Amino acid sequence: MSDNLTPLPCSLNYRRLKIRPTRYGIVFILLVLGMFAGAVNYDNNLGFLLTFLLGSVAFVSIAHTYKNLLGLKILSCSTQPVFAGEQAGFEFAIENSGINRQGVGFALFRGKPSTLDFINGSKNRINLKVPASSRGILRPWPLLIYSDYPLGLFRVQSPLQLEIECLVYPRPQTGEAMPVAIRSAADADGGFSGSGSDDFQGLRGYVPGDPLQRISWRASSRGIGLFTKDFEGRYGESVYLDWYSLKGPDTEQKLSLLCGAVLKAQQHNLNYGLKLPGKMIDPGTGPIHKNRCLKTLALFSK
Amino acid sequence: MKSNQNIAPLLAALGVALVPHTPHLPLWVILWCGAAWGYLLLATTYHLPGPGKIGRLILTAGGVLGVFWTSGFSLDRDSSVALLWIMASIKPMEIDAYRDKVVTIFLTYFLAVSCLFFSSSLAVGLYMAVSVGITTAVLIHIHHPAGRLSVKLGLSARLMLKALPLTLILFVVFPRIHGSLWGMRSATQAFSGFSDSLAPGNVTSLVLNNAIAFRAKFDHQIPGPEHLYWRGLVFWIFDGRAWHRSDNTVNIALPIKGSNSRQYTITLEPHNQRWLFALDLPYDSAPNTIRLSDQTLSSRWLVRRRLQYRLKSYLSYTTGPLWEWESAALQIPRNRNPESVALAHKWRAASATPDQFVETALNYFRNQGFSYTLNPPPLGHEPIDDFLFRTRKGYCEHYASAFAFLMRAAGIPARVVAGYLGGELNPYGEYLIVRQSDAHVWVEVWLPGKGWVRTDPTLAVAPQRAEQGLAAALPPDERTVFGSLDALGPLAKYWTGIRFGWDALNNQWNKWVLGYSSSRQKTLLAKFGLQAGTRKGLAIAMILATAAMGLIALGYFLNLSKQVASQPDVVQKSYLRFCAKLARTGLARTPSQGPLEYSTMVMALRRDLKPAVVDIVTLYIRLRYGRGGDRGEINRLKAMVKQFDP
Repeated sequence: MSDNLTPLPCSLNYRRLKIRPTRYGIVFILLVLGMFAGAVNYDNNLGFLLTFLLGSVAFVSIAHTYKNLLGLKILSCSTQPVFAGEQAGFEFAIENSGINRQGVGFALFRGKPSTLDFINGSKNRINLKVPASSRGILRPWPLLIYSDYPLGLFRVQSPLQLEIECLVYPRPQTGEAMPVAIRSAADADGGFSGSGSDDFQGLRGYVPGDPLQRISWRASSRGIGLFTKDFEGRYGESVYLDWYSLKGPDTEQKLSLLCGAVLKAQQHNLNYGLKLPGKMIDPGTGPIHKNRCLKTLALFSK
Repeated sequence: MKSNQNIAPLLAALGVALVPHTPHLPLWVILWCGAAWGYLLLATTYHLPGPGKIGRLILTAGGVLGVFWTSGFSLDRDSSVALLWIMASIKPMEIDAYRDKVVTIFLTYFLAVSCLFFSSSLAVGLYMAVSVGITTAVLIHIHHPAGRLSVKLGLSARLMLKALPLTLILFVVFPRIHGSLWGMRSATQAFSGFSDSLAPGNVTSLVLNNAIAFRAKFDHQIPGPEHLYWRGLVFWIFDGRAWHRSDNTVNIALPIKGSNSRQYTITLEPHNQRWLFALDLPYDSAPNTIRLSDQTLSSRWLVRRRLQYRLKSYLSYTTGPLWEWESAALQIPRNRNPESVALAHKWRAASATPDQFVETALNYFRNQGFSYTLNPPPLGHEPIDDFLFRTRKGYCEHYASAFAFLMRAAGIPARVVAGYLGGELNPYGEYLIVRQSDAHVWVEVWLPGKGWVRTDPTLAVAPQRAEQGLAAALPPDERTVFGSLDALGPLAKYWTGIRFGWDALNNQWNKWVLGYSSSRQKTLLAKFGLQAGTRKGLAIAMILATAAMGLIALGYFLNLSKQVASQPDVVQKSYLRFCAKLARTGLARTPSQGPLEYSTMVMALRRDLKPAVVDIVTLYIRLRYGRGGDRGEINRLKAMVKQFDP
């Protein structure tokens, strides 16, 4: 599958366009054939003339439908990660040159199709949504560009297997308790004093991701690097969102709970890390850290 | 009902298709359609309740019953079409789904085309083309509701124009077969013209009929009006009131001698009879026609469709002796019309020769107060006596009948001939139009040494009839029945011109479109070396037709690919030209280089070009990747690139 991918930008050419009658087209052809049989039977020349005219109009409309798609260019596609159960959005940038186009439809498999008119020389963006049912990488089915303008009797379409994908995070869930393993002093320093919860423990070197308000500006002003004030206690502690603290056999359930916990931790501005089987992310905070955690959850495989 | 922007165009297409059906649909069906559509328009505009599913069912059942009731519970062509219209009146009530709309459109197509069951004239053909065009526009509209309807009408017209060449090729080359697939139902159409017998009043009833009987085109000179006697039927048997055709007419072409020959082509409108009309007197026959011993022509089949045939006639002629079977020309009913018989005997005694007797009879019509009228008084039990001695008012059939009777009573063989006299010259196309109103009856008498001689007793009464036509021959107060053009004043001339022009167009339409038959196709294809009759010729014709269609299709597609390619972005073209100019100096652009990157490279290597390159590339980027520019800016870019000289 991957070797048949169409790279972007791509332009719709003859090889990519396929034509077939719609079901109304089939009915229309039957109608014209019926009229034709009548014309033959009654040997009516005006009947022949009109039958041939109707048939030819349908035939000529194929050329119009073809022209309606030919030369349309897809420049790029961009996506934003989504959570499972949401709609994944694929935004295509499309360039039209040559002619005005009417009623060009775009559809991704299982997604809602979208129809657009193009004015000559314009660039349009079209956003197609696909339901993201499960976490991981969503590679949608081929992008189908189609048109049956003007008569709706014939449809020209181009299925394009594009190199597009969207990251799908697990569906966030909140459990009864946070799946937290408190980072104890024993874990970190080899000894735990058990002092007050908000006690200042000292300074340590700045690690990207540390909250700005914890930076000791006085210490940092000496010019030998940034220092972060290290607190021990309920509000300042680093937490690990821990796979092993969750009971139950269901991997996806656990990932969903962890995903919900990451969001919650981020919301409360905690310094949080992630512990998964065979994978560990050190505590941190901020949107980049959050996305890193979510991506790890999305792509997790045991 | 919900408002629906498709309803009005759909109803308009249906309405346009309905118009040519109005003459043969029962009036109530038309009113029914009008009411249904009118209510539908109101209901969608003002959100009135529409008929539900049950309501539609009841309406359909009622309409179908009504049609059957009207047609006397038979399903013929008229009632089938009426049923379709009942469907067309109900169907638009359920057009919420796209499917229903398309079905309605297809129904409209079918109805628009179905009126050719009733007429194939040029006017109907043109109207149907317009109707199909409007229906196509509405199909585009329901398929793509955005945009104005006028744009769709334009597109529909363009589609039809582009389809025209293909249509014509198919029309010409598609193999025609003679005859029908599953048999034609007998036409219910009414035909006008003569019938098998001739009673007083028969011809008079035709006079007000302006329908065309036939058109005649002469190869060379058109004969003068005094020669334009178009012979159709000969009546032999007289029962005292009406004239009848004879059974003893034989299928023998009797030899005639003649001079002043004319060759011509007649296009006969269908009259559902077998007799054909020919200029007096035809001396050869056309294919599939029989020349009878009374010098008339008969078709092998009933003439149910327009028929064209070529003939030759002598304007002056002598026929041979009186044949044995022609003794019927002396028959008169015994003991009828005694006064007329007595008159004939009296004249016979006074005349030395039959010629003299004929002259006496004509003089009697000329001098005894006879008059020519469309409204003769009714005749009694002895119609000839009544006419000759009492009423003395009559139309051509009265004069011909009385004249032939007098001849026979005096022992001179006479027969009554029915046909047409005259014809209107159409200056566009130089052919004669002969109408039912030109119907005429005259007499032929057999004179020794001359054979059958045409004698027109009507001319004794109304000498203008032959030269100036019927209207001039009638008394002034009867002329108005023809709808005088005098009311139009100076416009009459233009109106006459339009009328003749239109008839000439119709004639061409009849000839080239409606008259195109398997034999005409054979002749036409033979001109291109194709023997359509043979299997090989048919195969070649089919291959050529396919090839022609393929070529046309290719033409369409080439044309459109050219269009797409030949409308390139002017901006892009200018930029490519700019790059090409630089490439000639050795500064070629690599495919991966965008305009900014490329210009940076160029400026680094050629500092002298910097101002021009900056101008061009900045404008190019703005026009191509920004919001675009107006024509002035595009032209500026073009001009700058043109002046750019690295």
